[in-house]
Amino acid sequence: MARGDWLADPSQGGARAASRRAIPHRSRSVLPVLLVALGVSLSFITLQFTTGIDRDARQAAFENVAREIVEFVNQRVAGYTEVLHGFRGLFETGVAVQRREFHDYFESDGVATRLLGLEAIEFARLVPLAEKEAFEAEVRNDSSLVPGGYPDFSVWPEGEREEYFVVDYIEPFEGDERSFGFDLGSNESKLLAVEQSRDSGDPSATAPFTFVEETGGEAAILFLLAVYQKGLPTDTVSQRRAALQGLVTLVLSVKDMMEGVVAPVLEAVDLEIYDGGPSEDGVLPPTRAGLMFDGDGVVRGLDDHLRDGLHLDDYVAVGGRNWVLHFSSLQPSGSPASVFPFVIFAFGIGSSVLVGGILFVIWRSGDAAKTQARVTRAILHAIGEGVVVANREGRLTYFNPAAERLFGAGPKDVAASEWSETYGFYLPDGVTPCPSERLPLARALRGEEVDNTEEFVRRTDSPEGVVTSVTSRPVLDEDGAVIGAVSVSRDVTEQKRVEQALRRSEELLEKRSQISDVFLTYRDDKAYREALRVVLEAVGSRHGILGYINGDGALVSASMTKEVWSQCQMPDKNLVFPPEAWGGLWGLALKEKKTLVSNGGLHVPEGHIPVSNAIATPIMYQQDVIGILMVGNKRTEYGETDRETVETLANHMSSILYSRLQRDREERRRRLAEEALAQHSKELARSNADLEQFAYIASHDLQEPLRMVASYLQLLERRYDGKLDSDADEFIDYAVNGAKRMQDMINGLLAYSRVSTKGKEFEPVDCEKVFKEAVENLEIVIEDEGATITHGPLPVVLADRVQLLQLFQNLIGNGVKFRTKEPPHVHVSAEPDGGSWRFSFRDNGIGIEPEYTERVFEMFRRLHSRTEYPGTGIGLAVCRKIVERHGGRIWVESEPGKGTTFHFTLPADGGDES
Amino acid sequence: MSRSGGRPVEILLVEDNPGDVRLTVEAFKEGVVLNHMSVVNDGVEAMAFLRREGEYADAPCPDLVLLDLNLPRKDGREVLAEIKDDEDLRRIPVVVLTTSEAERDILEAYDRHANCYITKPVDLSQFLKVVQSIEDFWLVVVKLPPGDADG
Repeated sequence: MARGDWLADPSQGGARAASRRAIPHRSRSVLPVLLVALGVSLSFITLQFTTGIDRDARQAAFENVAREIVEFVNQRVAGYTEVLHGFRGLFETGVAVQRREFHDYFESDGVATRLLGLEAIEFARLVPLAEKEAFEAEVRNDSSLVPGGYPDFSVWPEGEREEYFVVDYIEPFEGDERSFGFDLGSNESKLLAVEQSRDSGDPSATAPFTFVEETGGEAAILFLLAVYQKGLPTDTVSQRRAALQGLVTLVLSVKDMMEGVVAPVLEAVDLEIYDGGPSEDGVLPPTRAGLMFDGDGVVRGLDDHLRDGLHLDDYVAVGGRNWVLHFSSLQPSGSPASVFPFVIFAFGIGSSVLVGGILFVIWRSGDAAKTQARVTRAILHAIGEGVVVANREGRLTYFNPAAERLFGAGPKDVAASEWSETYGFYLPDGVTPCPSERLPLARALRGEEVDNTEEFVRRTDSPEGVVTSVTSRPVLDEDGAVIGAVSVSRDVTEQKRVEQALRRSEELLEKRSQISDVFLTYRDDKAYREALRVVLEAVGSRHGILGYINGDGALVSASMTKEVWSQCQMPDKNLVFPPEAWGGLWGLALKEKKTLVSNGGLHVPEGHIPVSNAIATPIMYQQDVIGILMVGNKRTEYGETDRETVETLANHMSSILYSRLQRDREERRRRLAEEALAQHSKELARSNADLEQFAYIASHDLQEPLRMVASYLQLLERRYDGKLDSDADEFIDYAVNGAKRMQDMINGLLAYSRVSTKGKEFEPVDCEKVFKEAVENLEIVIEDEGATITHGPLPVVLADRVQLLQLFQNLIGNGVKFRTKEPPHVHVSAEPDGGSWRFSFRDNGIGIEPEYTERVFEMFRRLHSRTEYPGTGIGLAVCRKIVERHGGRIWVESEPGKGTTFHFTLPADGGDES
Repeated sequence: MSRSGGRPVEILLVEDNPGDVRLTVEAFKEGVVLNHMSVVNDGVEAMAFLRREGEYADAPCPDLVLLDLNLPRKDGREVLAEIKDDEDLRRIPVVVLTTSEAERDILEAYDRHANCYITKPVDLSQFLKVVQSIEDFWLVVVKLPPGDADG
């Protein structure tokens, strides 16, 4: 149903108006709760777990309250209807109801105070044109209430009409006297209602009007019911028209009618009631003129801007018209209170009005003996309660028509001990036959007075049965001896159903909120166990499963408790079931994606806890099965209600479980990644440590044999130089050289491995001093090569002083070593570079081909023959390692033939020592 | 030149590597001081020698001990500790002569009252120089406590 159409400006033309009329009529019984633009999509709920649950619960609570209020209005209208019928019964007893009786009864019974919203009760009498003057005269002279009568009385408004429907009796009169003499037929809307009730014999309601006297400007309606002449047939419309005596009319203030029910929830929910027009026209869109009730004075149903948040429209049929109930949630968070307790109050008023009225008439008639038989018959035929009479011997002697309907038969000649079996009486549980001696009528026969006992009546021809509320009394003779008994049974099935439905709705809401809480409270699998516990409580079951589908598509029975686990004796008991292992009721429910109920014949594997009955329902998120909810081992059979409960709770869990699984998956992914990373870096660290240990030990232990080789070769050279032939001298020379080179390399390797194993803690180091020291250490080479070493301002940095010296020495030494014919010049400088210092060692040497700029830092990498430039090829590898240990970076820029610049960075704050 | 009446200076070399033994012997041969070098190959033997136990009952009391650290059976550190704990032996100067450059070894040796610590140079000529300087210093320059050894 497009909300936009309701809100359309009627002046905007035909298309919209036409679409309004196309809105189909919805009778009360088939009216579903229409959700209008709730704007809460499932995906949105899952976006924010907490918010989602909150919203979900809010909406559920909101809908619940709306449902309760609708139910309340329905019941209240039913109450008014009963009152109308009661008054009709009063008129139809055949005893003339005079002004005096009408007044006294109204006064004595206090109907007005017992019916919320009732402003006045009137009787509008049908007066044909021909009898108008006589009628006016009669009223003017009627001094039964006021001495001197009503000399000014006349029917108004004036004018000749074929029939008048004149407001004759009014209670309370004061304050409403303006209506006195008013012809309902003079007003089109009221005439419509009059005719409707007259023709149908059912109550009808008028459109709302403002009736200043009664309501102080609030909207009122008339709720009326035709009263026919006693003894005339009323089977057809024309018969009813001919038999019409007048109309019993209730003047109702809609505001007062709603007072008391809406008050407790007004903070949270706004209710607006609009007249939706005659039912035969379908439901008309709300209009300002049709507004009968507004909870907070802000009209929301007509204004699109005020329609944000939660909304809901529902309809109630009132005397042939539709009322539109528009609900808006006013509360940004939290749940509105329940109106449940107020609803039950609405029951049972009309009937007491009726019986009270009849007894009143008997009492007033003054000649009880004469009219008693007639009146009694009238009573017994008019009332909806089933009246049964038993004689002293316990024989049933009388059933009124209502009792015959209720019990499916009239009096049967059975002993009191067989009543229960004969008429199908059961205890309120509906299954246990009620022992006949406990029936209220039987108890009354024993002299007891029994009030409002519940009893269940079920027969083969009405297998669903009805719940009755029974009151019974013994009938006593002058001496107080029991000579019989009477019972009055009232059908309260509908009342019970409503009560139960509302209670169940309350309970479900509570369970849902508990489940939400559980998932918010427990981040681990305890949430599943606790949520399952809530469900088991809700359906009175001993065992259950609440599981989810994991990333591999397997069912994880997350709710498993230690207790159940230990009871399970299956040899291959498991908590995770891949799809091929899905079995039993739950497996089938998962596969078929539907709820399955079994009340027996369940086969479980050997060792499994016995399952006598069960309900299994898949938890669906959109189209996917994301879990299972199963309950089992209820004492009694699972019924439709249990199935609904389980399904409702499973639905409720859908978005919660989905969010939970998403969260778990995210966490698991993150944890795995973190673990992998930690493992990786651990392995890396160990492998690095191993390598360094290896390098250190290898170089150390290699030293020993090498020293032998070198030493003895040198000893040979020393002792026998020139004593052997020249070949021998040359050979020894090569061997000695080789051994020395190997020693150099091993020393280099040792130095390399020592960068990390023998590193010192970082301390502030003045690079100017380091520079000076390096130059001093290289003094001989510098002098030999005729080199110039210069420097710009150098900072103080946090570093390992010894390593920094080695770094400077290696780089300066490099610059001097790889020289051209020009005298070598090395310039050292440093400048800030972000959070670091960038050092540059610029020389005017031979330079490096671009393809080698990376490889020069590799271990033992040499770009030149040893004869050109001697060296082990380890110096720059050590440099890189030192820089990296200091958290910096080293690279080289060069133009072959022109020179080379080595750059490295050192963090200004010292970096992380690794 | 003899410090004790023409008697050659007694040196005990504790060294398991025959190559090093020979090198050291060769180096002292080139020296100027008349010396007699005894050699043992592990710590246990070294202590037996110093305490004149078993086959070493007639061993001379050394004027100088050259001690390697990494030895089989009982290593040099223990030998050093035992010598310096022994009232009869503690005055004998002990020169730790080893390949280790480890700082820990050096500190440990001095903590146990080594008289000096020398790292064996890799280069032969350096090694010869070092042995020469040991001889110069300990056998020529230094005034040692009067030996109670009676030979």
